[in-house]
Amino acid sequence: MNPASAKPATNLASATGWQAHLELGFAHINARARLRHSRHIGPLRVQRAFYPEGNLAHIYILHPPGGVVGGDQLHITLDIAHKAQVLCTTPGSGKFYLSAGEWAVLEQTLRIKSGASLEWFPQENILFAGARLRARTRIELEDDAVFMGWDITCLGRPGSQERFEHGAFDARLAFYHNQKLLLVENQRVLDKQVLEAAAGLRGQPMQATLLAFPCDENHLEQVRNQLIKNGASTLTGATLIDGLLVVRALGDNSETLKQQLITIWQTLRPGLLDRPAVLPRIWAT
Amino acid sequence: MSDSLPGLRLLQLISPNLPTGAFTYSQGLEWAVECGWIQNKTDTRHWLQSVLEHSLQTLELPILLRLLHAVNNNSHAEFQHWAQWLYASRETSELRNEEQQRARALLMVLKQLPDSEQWPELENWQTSLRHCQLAGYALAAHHWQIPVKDLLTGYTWGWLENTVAAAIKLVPLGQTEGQSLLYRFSTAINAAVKYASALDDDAIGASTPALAIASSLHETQYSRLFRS
Repeated sequence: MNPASAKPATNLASATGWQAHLELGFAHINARARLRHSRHIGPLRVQRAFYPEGNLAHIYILHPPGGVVGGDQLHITLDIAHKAQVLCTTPGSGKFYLSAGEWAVLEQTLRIKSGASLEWFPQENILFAGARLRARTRIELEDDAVFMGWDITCLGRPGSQERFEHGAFDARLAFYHNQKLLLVENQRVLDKQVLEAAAGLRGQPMQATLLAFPCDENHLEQVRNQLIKNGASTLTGATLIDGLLVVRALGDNSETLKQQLITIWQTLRPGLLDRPAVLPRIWAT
Repeated sequence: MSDSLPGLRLLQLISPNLPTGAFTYSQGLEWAVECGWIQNKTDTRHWLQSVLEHSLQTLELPILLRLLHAVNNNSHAEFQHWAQWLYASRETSELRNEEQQRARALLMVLKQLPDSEQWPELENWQTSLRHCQLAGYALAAHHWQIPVKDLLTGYTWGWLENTVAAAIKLVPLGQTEGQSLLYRFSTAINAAVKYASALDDDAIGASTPALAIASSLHETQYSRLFRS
């Protein structure tokens, strides 16, 4: 690996990297989801919650350094207590830079209690060529909790003709309902052959997964109709597994993919949360 | 018991004639052909290769190994854990239905065999056996003393034979071309079993998003020969 090709300042010498922890606890108090508990270590922050649609809190998670290098660790934990409703997003894409060999770690734990809801819409994670990222996401729902969320990853930078020729991506998402494992979603890219794999990425640099729970056949039909209306490619598919609606897509353009997922969210939100979907303001900036 | 009996039992377990309906599933292949991803023998080979490398050897085989280990150690908790992990790794409604239907059919077959009355797990571990086909394979292999490496090899062969048979119906591919694919992949099976046997728990999982998408779209495919 050639350090000269490193883009921004990489702490190549560092054995430990930057450790960042962010823990947020929301509770339904005085008719609003309020941030009752907040703790952070290192460069992860949350902006003050705001309420553009009544009791439901909108929050933005910030990572001021703007990029992550090998050895860095980001740990995010969200606890949404009974009846609290929260929408969480990020102001920009997550960037993971060339690593000298160490893994960057992104660990996310999302716990949603009965009667509560979480909408989890972080912007896409971009892995620069040579990045090494291990991502672990654990989502735990209780009883009638509602979850809608997505995960969007871009391997390399197609806009700059930069392919993910070297580097590694090892991601897992586990979704639990009342402690029962409903879905394990896995993606490991350890060598460049995987990028072209016929049953794998098929040469597409971007992949996205949207999850929504609890859903039924009606939701699935609405989503499929919406995808047809969008003229979605043959690289986008929706399915319903044990109450969990899953949309998976591969592509080469982040805006197109995001738009696709946003329309699905707009389709599902009125049924799941009894609210129209209003785009978070920050997405427009 | 003669030495060849475990080998014969394995042949019976992986035979396409085992009444579990294996031949009615294509695991996304039917859509992959329909939408033009697979048009000829080369495309078929690439599809098989990528499913072998990014699903069989990273998901099914390591879990089969752990399920067998769990039966050998009489550990119900371990058995349940891996059976559930496999089921939760099935990405679509069709693939989950396939897993359950084949699991139940295999359970029926095993229950009706003469010596299975002495298998307490058939009752006690039923939930796992009804959700995960690999659980039934592991249980049978334990009682029939099939060596683990043979079990993994045989299971992979069964998958390969079944998928090539589906490809012959769908691609289209000649019978002789099918045989040449089987012949060619036999060498890759050894490597897959070896790879799977060395994998850590944390590395277990399939990385086949295009297969998951193909299977999702197959659920609404207008005209279908296969159930997945």
